[in-house]
Amino acid sequence: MATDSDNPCLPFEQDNLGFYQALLSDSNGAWSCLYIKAYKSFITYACQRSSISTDDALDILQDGLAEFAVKLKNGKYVFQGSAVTAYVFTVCRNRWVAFLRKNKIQKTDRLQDNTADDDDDDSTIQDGENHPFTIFRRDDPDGDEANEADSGGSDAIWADNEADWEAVGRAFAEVGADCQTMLNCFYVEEKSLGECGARIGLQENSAKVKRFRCAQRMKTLYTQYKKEEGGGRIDFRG
Amino acid sequence: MELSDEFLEEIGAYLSGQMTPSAKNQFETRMQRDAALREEVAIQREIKVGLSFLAQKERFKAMHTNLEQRGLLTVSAADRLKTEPSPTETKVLPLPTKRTVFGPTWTYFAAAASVVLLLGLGWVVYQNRADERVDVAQNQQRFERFFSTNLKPTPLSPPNPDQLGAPQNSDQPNPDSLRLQEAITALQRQDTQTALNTLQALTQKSPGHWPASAQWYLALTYLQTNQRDQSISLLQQIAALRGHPYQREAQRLLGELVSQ
Repeated sequence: MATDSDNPCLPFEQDNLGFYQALLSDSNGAWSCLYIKAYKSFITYACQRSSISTDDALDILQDGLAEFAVKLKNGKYVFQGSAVTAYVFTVCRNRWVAFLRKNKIQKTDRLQDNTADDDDDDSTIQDGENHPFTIFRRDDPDGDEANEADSGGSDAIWADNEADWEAVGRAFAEVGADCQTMLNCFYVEEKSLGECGARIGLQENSAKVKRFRCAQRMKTLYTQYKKEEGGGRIDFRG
Repeated sequence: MELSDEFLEEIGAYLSGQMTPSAKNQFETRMQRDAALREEVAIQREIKVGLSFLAQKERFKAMHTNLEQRGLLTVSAADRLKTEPSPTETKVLPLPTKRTVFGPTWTYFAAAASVVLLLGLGWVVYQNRADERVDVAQNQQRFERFFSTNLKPTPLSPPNPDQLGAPQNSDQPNPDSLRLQEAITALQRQDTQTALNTLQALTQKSPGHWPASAQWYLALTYLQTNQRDQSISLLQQIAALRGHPYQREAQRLLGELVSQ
């Protein structure tokens, strides 16, 4: 049975800023706490209001958390005093709404919320004070923009394309184990060429050639799959 | 635009924010003029964001398994109430107005015995699961206390008087230490499977500081994944080995595990 001392949320009670800073410094306890809070609130919320399976709800939750983690890392999420959990809940909820629409699933309780209908009105959720995740109001159509950095700055130089993570996933699955290690090391962990090469037993010069070939292969497969697919987009513009 | 190694390097530095402000300005000026470069940066950015997203999702999947094992994802009635948006209409079930009539007296006893039996079995199952969760939580707490992302450095060997003027090789990172660091990063993000694979491979290598350190982290990984017996067996080996970099830690952890 879990005890209080095992609760990773204990250090962050009532401290929104401290919690945000702990997430920013990639504290495992903070991420575990966020996961627990998001899980307990969102899974119940989504399953009570629609006939989706728990597995689907879990998938949506993990997508939402992954989206938040990427936004936090690339500076797209800006802390403005309100609870991080509220923002994460809104991200998950938006994904849930999109999922219901895509799969033409009706909500099970129309009295509560018109989520699957066209008039997606967040203000119908009436327990903002008691809910662990206070819901953003309607004047923020996406619900999550209040905390997002302005995308109209210099970062908007290039075409504002969305990342198609399904195409990325398909491409990544096909590049082979060594390339996966190399690409993850280069793109995600942003490590040096020497370190990335060492992970697959290559000296720096050979690692450079390998990295380039892997990136080239990844790009070719990604652009090919992106053309084929329509879904799986992540809007991380900005 | 044809991707070249130089472009990849440059775009990588730009997207990860590793350029100096002046280099960044120059690069952005080039992008404004060159549509092909702009497009290439956009594609590279999509790949980077997509891969980061997938890596994060894997992290949360692993985290889910870990938290579930520790019994931290149990949704209580209070949690359910918190997600209720407003009072809902509760279904009203009519209470039976007449007493249900059972058959002969022995059926009462049979029904009562079944209930007692079920309750008893339920209690045993519940107790076992509760004990399991306590073990998992304790293992996790011990793991967190003993786990450190800082590796112990290789001990300094006494200087060889014949090689005092020779250049040092310390700049070159040892591949085993990098792999060990990789495993520790995986453990940190709770990707225990990757950590296990890497650490098991490292401990099979010829004896040395890094394979020995990998043994310690492997014992910790076993503990975190609730493979207590494997963890104890490995800790016994480490604790008995004089000069092992983690001998003291192993002895302490072993003492706790055995006295439990």
